[in-house]
This record gives sequence, structure tokens and C-alpha cells, in this order.
Amino acid sequence: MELYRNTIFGFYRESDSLIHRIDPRIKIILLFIFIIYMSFVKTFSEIILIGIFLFFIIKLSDSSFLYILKGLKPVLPIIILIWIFQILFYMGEPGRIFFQWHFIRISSLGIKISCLMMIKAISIYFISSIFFLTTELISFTNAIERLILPLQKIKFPSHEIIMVGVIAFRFVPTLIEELERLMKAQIARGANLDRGNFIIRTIKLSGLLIPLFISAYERAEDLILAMESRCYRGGKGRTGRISKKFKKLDFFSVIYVLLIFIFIFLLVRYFKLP
Amino acid sequence: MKITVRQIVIAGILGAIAILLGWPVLGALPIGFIPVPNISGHATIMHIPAILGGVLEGPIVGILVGGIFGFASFYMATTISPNPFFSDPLVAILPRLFIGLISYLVYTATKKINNSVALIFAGIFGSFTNTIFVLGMIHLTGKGNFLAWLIQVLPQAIVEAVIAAIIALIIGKAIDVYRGSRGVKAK
Repeated sequence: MELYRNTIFGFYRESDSLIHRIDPRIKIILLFIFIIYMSFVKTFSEIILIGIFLFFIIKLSDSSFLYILKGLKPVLPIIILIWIFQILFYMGEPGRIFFQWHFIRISSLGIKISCLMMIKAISIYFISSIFFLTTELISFTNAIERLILPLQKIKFPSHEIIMVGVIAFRFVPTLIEELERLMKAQIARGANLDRGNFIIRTIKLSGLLIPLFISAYERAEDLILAMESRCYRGGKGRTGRISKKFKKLDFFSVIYVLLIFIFIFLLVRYFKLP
Repeated sequence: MKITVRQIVIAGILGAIAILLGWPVLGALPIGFIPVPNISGHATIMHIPAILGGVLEGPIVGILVGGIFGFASFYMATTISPNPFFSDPLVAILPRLFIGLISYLVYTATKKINNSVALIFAGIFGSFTNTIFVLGMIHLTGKGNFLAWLIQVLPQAIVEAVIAAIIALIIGKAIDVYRGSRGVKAK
């Protein structure tokens, strides 16, 4: 029952690579560009070109391909099962049909498109992993704050949203401790939390969840009182603790990535690669 | 749009519970995972704080808690408990914003019948919002066919809805009692 000691935090790998040095704001924007572009990929040649691009990113970020791939090992059976289901229940144009039984069928196009889907998902996993390997959680949250703060001008509550995130992550360790205490108390009373079917387990779980929610609410009421009595009024007129300026590297990275994507896009469309 | 101190703090703490329920613990399933014979092997209760946020404190808190839950799910799927389908913020974060909103709408619509019934409906609809919107987003971003996914996760979706209904009812009632004792006005 040593929940707190056995809880896993952190993923970041310290280094001074090129990708590490890019401003986190830029990295977030580039990540989104990559993910949105990936959503529209429809051909294998595009995937291969993006794979080459990903390979260079991994090399530049000083992390290893195998290290990220190893992370996928525990979910590999699930991915394969999902892939098989995608093939069996493929609804679109079939191409050549190998096998058919009612609405279940195995077809050439079904296999091709399902493979494409799985590779897409895995390449997005790769790019997101590289992002978190090269960006600390702290600088990530700072970057998000600085990205959405300008939206305050159009009455978007950016500061408040950041505050919600800060409170949430601040209270996780406190609540883990609380939960550990509650579990010990329940077990001492003879509770057997991991037996029975899901309804019985849910009802048993509520013996933990009710006190957890109530104590969370109590803490919330205290915090509300404390903040209101100190006249908390959001982040009006506040400046950031860290004010980073964009460097040359940031501009170049955006230009390079955009150029690469435009190049891949045009190459595949112009030559009508498969 | 104005967010009060109360909304900020309650959303933050409910968000903390959502993170806590799904955070991996070495050698054990997280507390919020209940084993189900299914493709992912478990049903989650991580979305329940978002449902309760929407029901108890209004749509804004629901959306904020959903956002925190989505972010936690995105971060965990990319780093400590890998899952390639949730390592995309469009799948992990965007659909989760609607959990609290839809639970709130369902709750206010059915509140006139009976408070308990409304809580149960909010739990069921909030849970199905999570399933259907996530699968829809997986379909839209080209990571799979909606129907093929639905067939695989249907047992989990149903179990999640049942669990969400039970827990939303129990905790909704408990917090109502707690508020009554503190004299805090319900929204």
C-alpha cells in the first residue's frame, strides 16, 4: 500500500541537443502541425517520407529509436488485435476480396488502409514521445501559459485556465497521500477492494471515493476562503516570471519543418505516388 | 467570460482526482481501473470527476475538469503507460471537454423528474459522451473505422456507463449532504 513511493513521475531526458534547445512554444505548434498533417495522410509513400523525417528528428533529439519502441511492447498485443478488427470490419471500397462471411470480409484495400491507420497512430505516438522526452513538464506548462495569455485580449480566461491546471497538479500528491490513508483504514476494517464482479467492486470503491471527494471538497472550501480573503482577482497586469524571447533557431525550425511538409505534400500529389 | 474563484478551485481539485484515479502505480492497476474482459482489459472511472463537475458546479467546471482529464490521459499515453491511440491531443483532449457539458445538460433537463434519476442519467450520458466522442475523433483523424472500434469497446462502454451511473448517484448525494451541512448553496 505504498502508493506514493511507487508512483511513477517524469519522462524527460536531460541533454543539450538541437531539439531540446528549440523554444517549447514552437515545439507545441510544430507538434500540432505534424499531428494535423498526419490526419490527412492517405498514401504509403507519404508515410515513408514522414518516417525518414521522423528518423532525423530522433537523431537530432539525442534519443534512441529503440527506447521509444520498447515503450510500446506491453500494448503490442492490443495494437495487433485492433488492427485485425479494423481489417475484418472495413466498410469502404473492398478492392480484391479474399474472404467474406456476412459483413465480415478480408479485402486487399481493407488490409492496406488498416496498415496505414496503425502506422499513422504509431508515428503520432513517436512524435509526441519525442516532444515529452525533450521538454520538461514545467517548461511545457509555461509554454502553454505564454501561448494562450494573449487571448486574454478577447476576454478568453487564459489565466484562470492555467490556474486550474496548477491547482490540479499541486493537489495530486496531497490527494495520493489521503487516498493511501483511506485505503489503509478500509483494509484495517476488513475491506477487500479487489474481489468480486464490477458492480460489487464499484460499490466497494465508493467506500474510498466518498471520503476522498468529501475531503477534496473540504480542502477546496478552505482554499476558496483563503483566496477570496486575499482578494484574488486573476492575473490582471501580471508579468511572467520567465520571459523568453524567440531565437534564430526557433524561426529556422519552423521554416524547415513547414518546407519539409510542403515538399512531401507536393511531391506525393504531383507525381501521384501510391 | 468570467470564471469565479470558486469555479477555479473546485475544477482544479476535481481535476486532481481525475489525474490521481488514472496515474500508474508500480505493479498494480491504478485505483480508477476496474478489470473488464475487453480489448483494453479495464474500464476507467477517470471521467467521473468531469461528470460530477458538470452536474454539481455547472458547465464551465465540467469543461475544465474534462480538459485536465484529457491532458492527463494524453500525457500518460505518450510517456508512462504508452498507448498510441491516445498520444494524439485531438483524440485525448478535445472530446473530453464535452463530458461535463453534456452531463450538465442532461442533469438540468431531467432534474424536474427526480434528483437521483437525473444523477443516474447524467452518469450514463457523460460516460457515453466519452466513448462516442473519442471514437468519433479516432475515426476523423484517420486512425480507424468507427464501427470496428465500437464493436471492440462496447463491453467496456456499457460497464463504464453502469459504473458512472452508480458512482455519480452515490457521490452526488454525498456531496449534497455535505453541502447541506456546511450551508453551501448548490448551483
